[in-house]
Amino acid sequence: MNPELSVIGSGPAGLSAAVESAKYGVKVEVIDENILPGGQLFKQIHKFFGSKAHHAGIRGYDIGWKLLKEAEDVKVAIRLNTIAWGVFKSNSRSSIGLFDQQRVFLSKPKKLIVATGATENPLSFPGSTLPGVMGAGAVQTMINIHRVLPGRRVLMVGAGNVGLIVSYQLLQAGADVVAVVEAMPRIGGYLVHALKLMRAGIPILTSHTILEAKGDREVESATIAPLDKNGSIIGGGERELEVDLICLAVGLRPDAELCRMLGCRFTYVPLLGGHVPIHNEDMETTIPGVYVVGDASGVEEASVAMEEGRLAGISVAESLGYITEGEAENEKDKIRGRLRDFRIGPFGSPRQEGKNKILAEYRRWLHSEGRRSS
Amino acid sequence: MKLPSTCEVLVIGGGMMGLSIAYRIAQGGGEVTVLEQRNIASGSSGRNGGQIIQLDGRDRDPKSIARRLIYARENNRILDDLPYELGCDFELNRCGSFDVAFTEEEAEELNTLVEIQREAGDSDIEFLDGDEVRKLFPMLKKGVYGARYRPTDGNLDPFKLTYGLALAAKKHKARIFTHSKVDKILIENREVVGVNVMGRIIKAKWVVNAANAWAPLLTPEVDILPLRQVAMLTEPIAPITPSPIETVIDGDVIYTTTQTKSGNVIVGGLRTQARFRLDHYKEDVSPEEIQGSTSIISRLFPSLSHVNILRTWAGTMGFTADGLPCIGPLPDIRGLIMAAGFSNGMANVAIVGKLVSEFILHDGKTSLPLDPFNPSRFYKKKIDWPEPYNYTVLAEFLKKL
Amino acid sequence: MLRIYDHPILGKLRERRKVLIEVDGKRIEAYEGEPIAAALLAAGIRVFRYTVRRNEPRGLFCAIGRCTDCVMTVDGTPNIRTCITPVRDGMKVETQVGLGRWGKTR
Repeated sequence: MNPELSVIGSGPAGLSAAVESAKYGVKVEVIDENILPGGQLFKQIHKFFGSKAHHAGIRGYDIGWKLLKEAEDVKVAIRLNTIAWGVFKSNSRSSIGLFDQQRVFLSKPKKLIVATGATENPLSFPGSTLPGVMGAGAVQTMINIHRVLPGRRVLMVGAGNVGLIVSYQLLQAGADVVAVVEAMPRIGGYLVHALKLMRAGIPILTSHTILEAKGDREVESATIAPLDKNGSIIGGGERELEVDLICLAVGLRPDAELCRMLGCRFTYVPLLGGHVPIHNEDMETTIPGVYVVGDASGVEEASVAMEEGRLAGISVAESLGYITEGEAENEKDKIRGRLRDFRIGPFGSPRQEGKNKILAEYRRWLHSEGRRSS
Repeated sequence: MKLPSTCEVLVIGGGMMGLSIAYRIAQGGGEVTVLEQRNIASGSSGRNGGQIIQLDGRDRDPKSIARRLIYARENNRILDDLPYELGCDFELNRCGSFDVAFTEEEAEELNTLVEIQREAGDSDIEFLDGDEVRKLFPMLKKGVYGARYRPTDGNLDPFKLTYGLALAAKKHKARIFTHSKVDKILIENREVVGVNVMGRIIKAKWVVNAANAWAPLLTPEVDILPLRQVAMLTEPIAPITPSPIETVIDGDVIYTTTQTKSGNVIVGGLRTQARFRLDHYKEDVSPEEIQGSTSIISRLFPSLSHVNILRTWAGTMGFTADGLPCIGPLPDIRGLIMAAGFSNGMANVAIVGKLVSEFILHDGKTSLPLDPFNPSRFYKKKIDWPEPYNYTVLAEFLKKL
Repeated sequence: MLRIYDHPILGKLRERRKVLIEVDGKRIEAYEGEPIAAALLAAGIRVFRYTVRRNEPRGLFCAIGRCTDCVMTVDGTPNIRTCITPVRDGMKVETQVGLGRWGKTR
């Protein structure tokens, strides 16, 4: 039995999309390769802030539980431990190749939403392959989900939101954060998070970078150095820090390889993390019936992911005839309004710019090629 | 770097053939520009398993065997020196190759072929019986009846080879332009004048069409077919197949494996969908092809039935009616050289560079004759190929001709 | 101790059934269902394998099954991603040196 809608990824974007579609009667199946659903939500033990629409005051994992309960209530099927190893186009439908640890099979839904999130960027420096150098997300998974410390004395590389938040979470977990280094001259993340660290006495060294990780078989120390205003290393300013864990928080990039397999058009938007599939106002890609939402469509925040998910969910319900165009537009307008509100200010407006670029590219594509192929 | 407006030799195709030719011409003092529509090694050069099979196929004609061996041996000789010459380690491994028989009839056929080949002067082809093969490949499935074995075959990394050739060509002042698609070869009064590359004209004295599967799009008078093949690669595992293996399964599927230095087993030449000509350029892989191919791995190596496949891909080779490439000038057009129609790159890459560069730089005088590869044998003699086709369809069609 | 028994937000570590796994012949305790990598980190083990060409140590990097830095040989099968594979009682985990040997447990 093929579902009407398959959603790949059970993070905030995927679950929101599934719930919204199912509310209108669409038969939805969510696929996730992990043992547990929820994507990055369950690692977020801090309180979100912003407006009420931002789920201010609520911890990430509580939002996660709420979404899962909603999914259960509207009878969304969630297949865990299942890898979507490929997507193929044949005539009007996409086939998804799945493997659930027992057998390999194909699913042929009418509509597909790709909500596969993002991957952490690596950073190369001498010693960066030593055990004890790991991504910030990895550290977060270990301390918040599995309740294990991967080290005791930490150097955090990157003072964006992820770097700042995970540093604070390391403190809560009982580790000692020796320093945060940030290559840029400014702290990249919200000051609210930075202040928590400064109050705890943790130095946030802007215009600093990591030069080397040293150790016999694991990390034993890190060498950091100051940078001048051109980003060059200032000789003589190197310092060696005794740390056993080096945490890399140097950005995320969208992970939309399934879209690439299908032949979706991509564009490059550094502000949103790199290569992203282009999409329209309904989150539909250049392949009709295939949508992309959440970090896979541009690295932003959980609240944005959830709204984009809802947008795609409604669009799918509309295209399958479960909701009229009028009703759909009404709901979509409200969501688009909220999305605009999320993308304001010094942090939000660059992302709005990024999204505008994606929408413009879609319109260009539609005008030149889209009409011929659909 | 801006596209030049003129050049002496213009090579179309940034695969191993085009770059081998460009390298030798540049090394010989010629002025050469390479135009590649995508990236270096985007076509067959970057999609094959790297097997070096000097004499592929089941040639039974002693004259043909003897002749092909001359070129193959010279190619091998140059290949062996190439890592030092290019300063590039492309993982050349002389580990031999095996053509394995899983039925008694197959084994007899191979044994007969070996006899014919040895008669024709092929001194390093051997026939091994089932037990000898099993000793060398303990992980092969049971039921091996024998194999044709050539110890001087082997494998290499085709990416590294192609890039090595490109870098060496650049060192000798060759210019290479990627994402530069040639739309048309310009011919006036039976003479090549240059090319049109995405609207820009480049004048040239010589144009070498080394675009392999894409060559017939520019020179349709030479009958070369694009032929799509599918391949896959496993997670890295300890060596299980010391040499490339070729075999026939189910009567018509020809299947080859090889293992890279980093431990990945590459499996290719699998049963593909029959497609229309232009769809052979599409590099997608269907789920049916993936499922069909993976079942073959577990049939050949039963203990590998749970190995993980990391990637599958498709590539397009050049197919000709006699299995030999088209190398050399066209009969009535001055300045246009074909170097396309390859389905066995590694056995030809070095010799092609040598002979084509000699032809251009030494006024048509080559150290070995180009006659066996004369493009005129397929020039303006169009065969009515069946469509849709795959390798099996073509092979059967040729048998009936 | 590397296990976070008490946490200001997450509270006390929930009591779960413990299992025993064997790591390079040594028995270590693990919580039922947790990823192998978590049990190893908790036991202070961070080197999971050595690379093929230069024999360099590697361990956990991404923790979500993407990078394959954390692979080890588990119950005789090489290249197992320890960050997403749950432990089982009696599981045999081995530091993978170079390419994994397929098919036989040592």
